[in-house]
Amino acid sequence: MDRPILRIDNLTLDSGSHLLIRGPSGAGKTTLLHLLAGLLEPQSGKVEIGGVALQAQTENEKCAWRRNRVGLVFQKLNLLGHLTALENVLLGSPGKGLTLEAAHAALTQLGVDRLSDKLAYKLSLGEQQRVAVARVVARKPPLILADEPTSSLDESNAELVIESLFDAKGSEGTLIVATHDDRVSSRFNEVWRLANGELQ
Amino acid sequence: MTGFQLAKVSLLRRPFPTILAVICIGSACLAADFLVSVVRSQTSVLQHLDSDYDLLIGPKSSGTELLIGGLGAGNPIEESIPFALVRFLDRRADLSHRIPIYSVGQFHDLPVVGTDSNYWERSDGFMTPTLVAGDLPSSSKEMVIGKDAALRLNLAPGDPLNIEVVPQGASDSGTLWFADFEISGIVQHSNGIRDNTLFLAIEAAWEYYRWKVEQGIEVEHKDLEAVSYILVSAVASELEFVESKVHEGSTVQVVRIPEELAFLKTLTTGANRVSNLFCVIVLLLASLTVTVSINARFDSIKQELGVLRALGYTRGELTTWLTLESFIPTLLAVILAISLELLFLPRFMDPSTTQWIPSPRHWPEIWNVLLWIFFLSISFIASGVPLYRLYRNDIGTAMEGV
Repeated sequence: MDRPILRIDNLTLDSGSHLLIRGPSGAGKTTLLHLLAGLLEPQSGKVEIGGVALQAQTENEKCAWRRNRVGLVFQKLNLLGHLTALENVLLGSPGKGLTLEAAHAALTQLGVDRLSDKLAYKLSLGEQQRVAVARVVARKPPLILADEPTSSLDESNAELVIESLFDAKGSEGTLIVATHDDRVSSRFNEVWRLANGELQ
Repeated sequence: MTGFQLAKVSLLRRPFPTILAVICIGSACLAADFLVSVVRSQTSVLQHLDSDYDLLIGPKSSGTELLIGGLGAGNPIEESIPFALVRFLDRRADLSHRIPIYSVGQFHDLPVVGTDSNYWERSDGFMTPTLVAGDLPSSSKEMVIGKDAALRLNLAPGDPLNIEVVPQGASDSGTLWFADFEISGIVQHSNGIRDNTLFLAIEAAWEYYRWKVEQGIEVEHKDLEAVSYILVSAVASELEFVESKVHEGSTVQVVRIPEELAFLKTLTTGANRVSNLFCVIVLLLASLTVTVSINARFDSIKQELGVLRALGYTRGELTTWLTLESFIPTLLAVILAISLELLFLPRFMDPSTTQWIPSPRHWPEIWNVLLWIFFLSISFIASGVPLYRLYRNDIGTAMEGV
């Protein structure tokens, strides 16, 4: 049998907390975030959020849960190149859930409002990363999962992104950031290290 | 964002693939429609030949050929029919008959023919005349002319016209038949062959014939100067009598219309099966083209579908997007195909004159509409393929665009 990518005996987080997961590339950070978002199923064990086991939910229930309660910043950003920055922010809210004002406000907060009408594929990598973060910030979901949200940013913008994520989390939300960027560690009280698929 | 908004931006922001899909699907629709149209119109003409008359008297070509020409699916053959036979039928009050066209001769190189009222009432499609100005002739002193003849002779309804016909077979080249007419109307045919013709009332044509006999000119009933065919309604007991009369040394033949039509329909039923098989093959190939075009378009967005699924878009929202994404280009393609058909298909090249002539097709027919609905349905079905592939994998795999 192949060696598991990730083996975590127990990881419990309270609502309102924030956690930084650090580790080298290939350590399993993205896999962990995808498990927490219900994008992947664990081979054994369970992922329980708010007292509900994700594995017990149907595909539609998981979809509705992500739609209403989870904000994802993907490592690959996953912006749609043929949409503008503003449309990509609106894309983060399925249905008619987000107003134009809220989308603009998020772009302004991340310092990319002037790019709102620019197509995503024409943006620099750093600009794309801030638009991807704005997509989550605009919604202020209860659970924010951010995968390497500062990897292509300079120090001031990295700080801006982390502050925006904390602002979106509020006092009740939960923020989990996976990164190998040392610059953002100081903002988190709880830092866990992931190496070779195991939490340390 | 809603499924509608996703479809809108996707179609508008990626115009090249959209236009490419429209062109590919439109070409498939057009090719299928054209091929099926040609096949069906060929068999349909033969299948729908009908007549209220019992007998058709005409030249000795094949019965089928005579029937197709005589009942309006093609040009009647200009050949000799004994005038005595016409006179005999004229005298028999119990035999209702019709002589659609009697060719008189030429005036300024334009054919001059005599017709009866039935000619103007025919609605067989191929030669259907339409009055574009004035009225049909109400007396033997009035005539109508084809629209091209009207242009060439610069005539309009109400204008007088003195016809001079050089009779065929006249020994004296100075012998001319004169007759004064008034133009009562101008006609246009769905098939333009007759648009250069001058149409007299059949009575005027008989007057010409009588004059010719009085002048001692041999009546040969050949070429242009001929009764093409005669349709006769007769009670059963009269059929054999008329047939025997026709066969008294004449060069013409009698075709019993109901029997010949039944035989023709038996023949075309077999042909129809072959044409139906051909239509099915054409439709299958066209459907394949439509499906491949749509799926080629979806291949470029499958990773986006995975991302949207990860963001929490429901199956319903993605279905709306994909359905519109395939339906709208197909709809545009069908509209494009219909426009091109309207532009080009109603016209066919006449091989004898190498001129474009109107098509005999009544367009659109019910099967045209069914064909377009079929393609739109295919687009719905085709949009289900990427959805199936998207939900067959887990989201992580879907986001990789697999």
